[in-house]
Amino acid sequence: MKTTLLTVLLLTSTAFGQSPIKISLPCESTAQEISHSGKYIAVRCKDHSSHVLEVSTGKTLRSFGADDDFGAFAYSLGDKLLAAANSNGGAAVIEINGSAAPKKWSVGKSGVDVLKFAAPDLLIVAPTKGTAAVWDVSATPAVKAKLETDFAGLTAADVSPDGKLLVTAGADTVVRFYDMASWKQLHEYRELLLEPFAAAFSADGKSVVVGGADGQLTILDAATGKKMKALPANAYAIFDIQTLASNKMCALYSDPDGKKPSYLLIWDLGSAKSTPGPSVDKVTGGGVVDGKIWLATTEAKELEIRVGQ
Amino acid sequence: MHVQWTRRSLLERCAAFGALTLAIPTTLSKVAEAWDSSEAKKMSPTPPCELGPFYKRLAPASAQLRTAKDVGMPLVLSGIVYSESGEILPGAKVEIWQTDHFGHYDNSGYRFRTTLQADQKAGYSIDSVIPGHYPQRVCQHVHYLVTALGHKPLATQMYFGTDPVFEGDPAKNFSRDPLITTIELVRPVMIKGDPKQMIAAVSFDIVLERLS
Repeated sequence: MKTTLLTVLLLTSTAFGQSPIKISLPCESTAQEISHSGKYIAVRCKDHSSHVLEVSTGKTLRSFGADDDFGAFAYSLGDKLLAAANSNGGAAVIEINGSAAPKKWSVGKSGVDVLKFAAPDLLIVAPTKGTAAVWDVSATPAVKAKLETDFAGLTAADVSPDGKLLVTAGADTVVRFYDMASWKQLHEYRELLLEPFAAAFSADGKSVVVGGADGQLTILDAATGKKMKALPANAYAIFDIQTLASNKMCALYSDPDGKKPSYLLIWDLGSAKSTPGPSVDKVTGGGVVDGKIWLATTEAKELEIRVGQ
Repeated sequence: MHVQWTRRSLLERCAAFGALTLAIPTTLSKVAEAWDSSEAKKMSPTPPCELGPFYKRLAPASAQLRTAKDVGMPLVLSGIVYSESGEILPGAKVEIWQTDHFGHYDNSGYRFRTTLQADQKAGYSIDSVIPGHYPQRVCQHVHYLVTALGHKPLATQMYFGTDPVFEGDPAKNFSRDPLITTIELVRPVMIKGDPKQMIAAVSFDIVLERLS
């Protein structure tokens, strides 16, 4: 699932200076998602249950049962809410520090390719089969806007740092820009030949970087949707892009044939040069916290988080 | 009381009440026959299947995907594009892509990728090879993206009944590939030609759903 790839997140530095954080898990975990603040970690268990833990104490705050079978997670801005989705179209939103029952609803009949909060109460859900939508989850979840494509669904989405623009990447190879006040499409970029799998705004919000099966980062002007430049192509496909400080982006490259290990490259958008990122070998989850990458690995019920400098 | 109208009696009543206006001179029985005929032709839309991650736009229009140097079992893959009402759809755009014999997609170029236009009889045909297996996918498959005016775009995949994964029983074992949700997408493979130059032939008709 794509969201699993999204959990392999990136860093502003390739070094890991602090002592690792160690947590005892309530289960053997296959994937994890660290919250924006680094206070929480959602873990998916081998028994198909999932839990939200407090990183500093290892305390389990909320849990979903194996019946829910949630495998994709996303935190709201400010880490108030956790959204979760499963492979049968089931979705849920839960207050991480509350006691209220989770809001559960159906977003389709399939898994999701994109699960991401666009605003504190607005959740983007792109089912593998069906039309992506922006859900208002402030009360009973309701569709606020639909994010149409020519065919197939969305593969990625990101919100500008000022919260005004949404960019989506579609399996139809189209990159679309939306005004988040009106949800009207402002621009689109139709020159990609292969599917984009990832899209991210630069730290200053002025550009959007997309990448995918073409193994190339294409930089678009956020104000016009037009291409500014493309960085050198790679034989591997790009499955994730994360925004770093100092005009840098980090991209996760994976072998299209699935035969060789994945790796990270950190790109300087100005110089169009890249440096190797940290190894993602055996990494099962992570997150970007205050511009630093947190990478998680597990062994049995023990989880270790390495914190970047 | 539930009244079971026959087509003919319904048409007769419509005619009697002036609700039926025929544009061309004909008889009610012929209209009823035509109605029956069109009803009988209604077809179920081809089930969708994931587009897959390696769709590439603007593939050249070539039916000859296999070259003399290509390794693998030669494959002739053909079919007709229909609307769900049973009408053929000449001019429908049929985009097809697959791996080579070794399970590799050509992402830098357009090997084993094509964009065809269905002919006057709504037919399409390619000369290719049976695609290989690759680690992320269980079964051999060919991708389709089919579009036609007034119809919903269809992204689907065609599978081979001879795939070893099915162990000779695709009806029983098709779900070994989690992306195959229906046996309809698994097609029989006919072996043609002489023993020295065998060719696999597969027919895969496409039925598009109308835009509502």
